[in-house]
Amino acid sequence: MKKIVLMGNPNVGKSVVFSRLTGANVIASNYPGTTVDFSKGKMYLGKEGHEIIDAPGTYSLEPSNKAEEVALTMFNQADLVINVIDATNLERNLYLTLQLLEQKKPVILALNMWDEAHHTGITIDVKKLENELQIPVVPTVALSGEGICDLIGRIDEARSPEEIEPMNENDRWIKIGEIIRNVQHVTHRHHTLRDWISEASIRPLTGFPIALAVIFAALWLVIFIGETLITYIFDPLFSLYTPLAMSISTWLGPGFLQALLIGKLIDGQIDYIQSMGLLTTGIYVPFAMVLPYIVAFYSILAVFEDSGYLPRLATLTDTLFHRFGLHGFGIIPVFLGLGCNVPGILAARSLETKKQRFIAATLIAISVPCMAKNAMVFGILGQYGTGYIILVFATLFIVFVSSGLILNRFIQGDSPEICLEIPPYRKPDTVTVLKKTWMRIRWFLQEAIPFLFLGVLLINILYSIGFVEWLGSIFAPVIQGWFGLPKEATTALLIGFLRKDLAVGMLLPLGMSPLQLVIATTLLTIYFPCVGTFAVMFRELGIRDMIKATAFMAGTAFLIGGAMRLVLLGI
Amino acid sequence: MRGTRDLNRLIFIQAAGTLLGIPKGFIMEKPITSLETGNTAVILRLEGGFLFRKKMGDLGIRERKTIRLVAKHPFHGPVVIEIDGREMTLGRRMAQHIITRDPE
Repeated sequence: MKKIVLMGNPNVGKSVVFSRLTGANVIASNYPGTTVDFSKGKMYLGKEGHEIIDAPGTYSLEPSNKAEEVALTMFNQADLVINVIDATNLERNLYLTLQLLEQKKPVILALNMWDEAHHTGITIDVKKLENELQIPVVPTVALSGEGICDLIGRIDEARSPEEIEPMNENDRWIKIGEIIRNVQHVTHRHHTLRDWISEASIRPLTGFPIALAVIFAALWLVIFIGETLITYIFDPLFSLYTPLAMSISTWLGPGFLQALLIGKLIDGQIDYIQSMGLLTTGIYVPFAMVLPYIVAFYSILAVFEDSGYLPRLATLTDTLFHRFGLHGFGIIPVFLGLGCNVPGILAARSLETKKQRFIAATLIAISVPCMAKNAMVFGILGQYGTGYIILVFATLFIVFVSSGLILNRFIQGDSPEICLEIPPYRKPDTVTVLKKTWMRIRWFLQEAIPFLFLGVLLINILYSIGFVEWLGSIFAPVIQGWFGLPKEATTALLIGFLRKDLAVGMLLPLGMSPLQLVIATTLLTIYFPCVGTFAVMFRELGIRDMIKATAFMAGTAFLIGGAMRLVLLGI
Repeated sequence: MRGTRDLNRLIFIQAAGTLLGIPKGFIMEKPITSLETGNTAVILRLEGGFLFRKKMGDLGIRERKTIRLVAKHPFHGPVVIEIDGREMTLGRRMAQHIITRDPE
């Protein structure tokens, strides 16, 4: 079994080629740095199985960030390399190709985005390129699957040319210049509407209004889709389910099982948020409250990612993010973090220095609420008025900005400037968008449901052994005295470590005023990461930095909670 | 601050040129950041260490390449350039070290 590694510059479509070769689905988008880790898959050539590895993109074999280090490690393990290159940008892509060839590993070239090269007036003589490089070259359009069969059929021909010697940088560029003159012909092309939109959305004067409009439209769409799904699909489904749940409840009769599966009956009825049974709250929260917004958010995010708008947004936010010790690319982890903090913090790998990665991870954990939690905030605070929701997000925004400014001041290390390629706009493909959304929904269900069940189970156990009372009285000085919340809110903060969405749901039976709910839900974002985020911070930052980050979070929660009590409750 | 430093340098060079009797516009050497938005120039050199030149080289920003300034963001923000039909966003400090001349 051979190890075949996909190597290439960022954003040339390696992950799409990988999906095509293995049938496995991996997240691909239209911005450099989507893949920050490797994925493995299997492919059969005849009867022989081979391991295929999708590596993060890299411009050269001298890594400049963590994702590129992963790429280099993967390359060193490779028996054979599929070098995916962007046909619309042949010259720059060939630099890595030459470096790969100098390492004397068998290489086959996939000349990807062949269709786009054609549209932009670039013609490449494939036969001549094969002769120049002495390796097989296959034009492909990974998005549509064109050329993939050829690529598979010719993998056996991959070879390492004998005459190539290690060169220095200058000699490589000279050689590339010769190759380009021989194989590529570019016809002049007039500016198109796409170019015009591209420039309008990246220039400051037009770019900022466009960005505001786009973000508001996206936000509105997420809420609109989420609400529609709840009103017309999930709530009707659950009203069909209620009689069944009620009859299970009667059948079980009062006792431990009823308390565990159905939970408390409120006025003799099931209350899906407050009952806290596995078969009531345990499935209502993930499916009817959170899932609709997850669907909405990830489908919009997929459109954003595949269109190529995110790198433009990164350019526009660069000046602001500079104040936080980051650069514009930081907006991408933040955006992903709005879905779930875990992929957000992983995406911070594309940032160059330790300082930047620490700041990005901490900012996401402390002030970027995930969609599961947001959905609950919409559901619970929404009934009192939009103003309260805005209050939560405005506070989190203030926390984001001030934490960024503070961390930038006190964290040692470099903050290099932005250096980001802007891909051309592409029309997102419906099937790809749906597939990607589905992958993320499935991931959400796999991750969320076990923890939600565990949470509901734990709540029941903790209540029955009287732990909740005990914990409440211990933390009463902080929760009651300092934050101005009922002492039972302590349990919600405890459960928040497992699932923040469930924790928000637990606040409802406490009979708090809307402003107290605002304080509690805001604190639920700030005070501590959830278990998944905790684990990924540990992995990405190491134990010391993770402790530093969580201490910063707890400290901030203490200050912000007290300040909110003073300002909002006036006591 | 750095922006004004560049401008000062340009003004100084031009003033020196005028004193020496060289017509205005003859002195063509300037950082990409001093270009008007939408204008094109040719890269003369990259002023910086090995790592900086390598980073730029990785992105295809090299000597003798034609470069266009697509956008310049205020408050010392980034610039967007275009090389070989590819747009790239660069921090202002990096861009100030890309020295260009007018195209022929």
